[in-house]
Amino acid sequence: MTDPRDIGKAIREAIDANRPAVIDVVIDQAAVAPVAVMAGQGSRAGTPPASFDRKTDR
Amino acid sequence: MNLAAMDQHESSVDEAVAECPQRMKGQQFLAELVRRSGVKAVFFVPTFLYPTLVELAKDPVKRVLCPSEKAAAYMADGYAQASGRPTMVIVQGGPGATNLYAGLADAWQSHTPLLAVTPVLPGSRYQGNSYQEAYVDFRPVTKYDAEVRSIDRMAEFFGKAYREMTTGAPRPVHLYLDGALEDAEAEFDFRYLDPRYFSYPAFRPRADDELVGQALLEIRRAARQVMVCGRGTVVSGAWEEVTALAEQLGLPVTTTLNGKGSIDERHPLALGVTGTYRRPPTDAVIAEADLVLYVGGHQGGATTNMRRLPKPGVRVIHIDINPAQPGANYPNVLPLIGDARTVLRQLLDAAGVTKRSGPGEWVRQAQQDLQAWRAGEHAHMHGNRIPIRPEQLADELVNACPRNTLFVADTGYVGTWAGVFMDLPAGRNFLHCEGSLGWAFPAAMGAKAAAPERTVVAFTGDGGFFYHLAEIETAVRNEINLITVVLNNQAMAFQTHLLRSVWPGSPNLDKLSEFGDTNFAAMAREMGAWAFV
Repeated sequence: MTDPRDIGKAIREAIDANRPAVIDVVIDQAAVAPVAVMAGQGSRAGTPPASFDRKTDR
Repeated sequence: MNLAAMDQHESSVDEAVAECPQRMKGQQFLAELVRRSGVKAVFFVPTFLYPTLVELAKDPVKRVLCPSEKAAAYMADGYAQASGRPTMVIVQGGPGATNLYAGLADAWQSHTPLLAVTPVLPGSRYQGNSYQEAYVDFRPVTKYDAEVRSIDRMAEFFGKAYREMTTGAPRPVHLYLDGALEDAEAEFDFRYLDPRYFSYPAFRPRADDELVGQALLEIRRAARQVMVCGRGTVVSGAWEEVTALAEQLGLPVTTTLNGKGSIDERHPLALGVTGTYRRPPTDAVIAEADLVLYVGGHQGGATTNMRRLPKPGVRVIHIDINPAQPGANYPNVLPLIGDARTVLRQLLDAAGVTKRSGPGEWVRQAQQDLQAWRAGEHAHMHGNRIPIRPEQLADELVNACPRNTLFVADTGYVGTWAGVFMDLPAGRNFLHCEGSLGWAFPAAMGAKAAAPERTVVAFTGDGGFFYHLAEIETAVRNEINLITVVLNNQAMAFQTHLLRSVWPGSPNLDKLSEFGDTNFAAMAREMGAWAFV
């Protein structure tokens, strides 16, 4: 899953599955924490991090 | 103790006296202990206490066989946090016990009770180069650690273990047990197993009334007060009291990451998570405060943003059940020693019925800063980007799940995204990893075993999920039907961003933090789980 419009459907089906459920969500690799925990990491200031080179979507 | 409580106490003592002593085997005693403790599951890695586990065959207690000791401990950890009842984790000694040690470290840090039992080597094999002979010192990660070598004192030692686990600051305990005692027979005195110690908090002590009055005076005199609620607030079930006191005194409320649930995060006085994994405007409030009221927490590094907050000299009032905690990490502290819910009620009673007339300028400014931050995050939370932003995923998961869902989050970026972007109602609905990455999935399994009627969601990343993938099969086999949401960015992104920030030109940085493309859905289906297509 990687489309926000699928979240509700995924959760409904997972609950109805009546089995352990796994929802594998391919997220934006450039997303960081809202604050810098360590040096430069997660900072929303300046240039946002780029996606990783080997990124693939399925 | 009131009259009703005295009657109940005398009644339970009478029942205990009436049934004591009982002659039985050690394995029957241990099975009876599990029954009386009221738990629905125990977690184990073979081969220790099989006779006891066989004794439980006809009971409605899940006997959850796990492939790893660490995951078994995490499951017991999640079980206790979701239910308020400590359960048992049973594992082999020697090298296997070293894996257990790592699992107990998380429970130690989060103040979670669980009873770990491992075998003690008999004297005939001690220091004899015996198979798997290795010794583990559990004292650094347990509140109580003892060897049970006598069948006649077995009830006494297990009773002590439950007393230590569920009173004061709850924490894990460990017993080395001579396996031969399972088959031995003795008179067991069940008066050692007082049912009041099978759940926590076992007692709810009051704080000193004079100090409560002084605290109230100081809160009212201060100009910029703020409340910080930790895990102890949630464990105590004090969310109604937190909300009432905040409204009564006009206090803005922040929480630690593990204190989520101390107040409805959509309440106008709720500012969100403070500390290292925070909303940016929330720490600013604490930085400007002239009085901080801590409720049920240990003012650790994550809460104080590595001991940067509050600023030196700021007056602190600290409610905690552990008398040694207030002032341990910060000076200038007024200690209110007692159960969080009880002491907050004392403060409410002392405050009377007069409410503050609307929020003061201090509170209005904090609310405006929070609104400004929310506006700045709007694109991340509602932008409908593909691939999805984790901020939007965290926010929309809350809306998509039933209101009483229990979310169990890992550490790292995932912990921050969950802590900051999931606005949750008050109550026991959020657990967070206090230690090692990878905790969330097995802990959520334990939580689901404790609360099968609730939707339980493990919120983890690919780096976290990799730790305990084998437990998918454990969940399937034991019908522990949790939902696991894996935020898959094919890396330990926390580290990737750090590496790129500090060593931007270095070649092959991807070797230090990135994974290959793994399809967790396909893997889960292969192991018998359901996966979203």
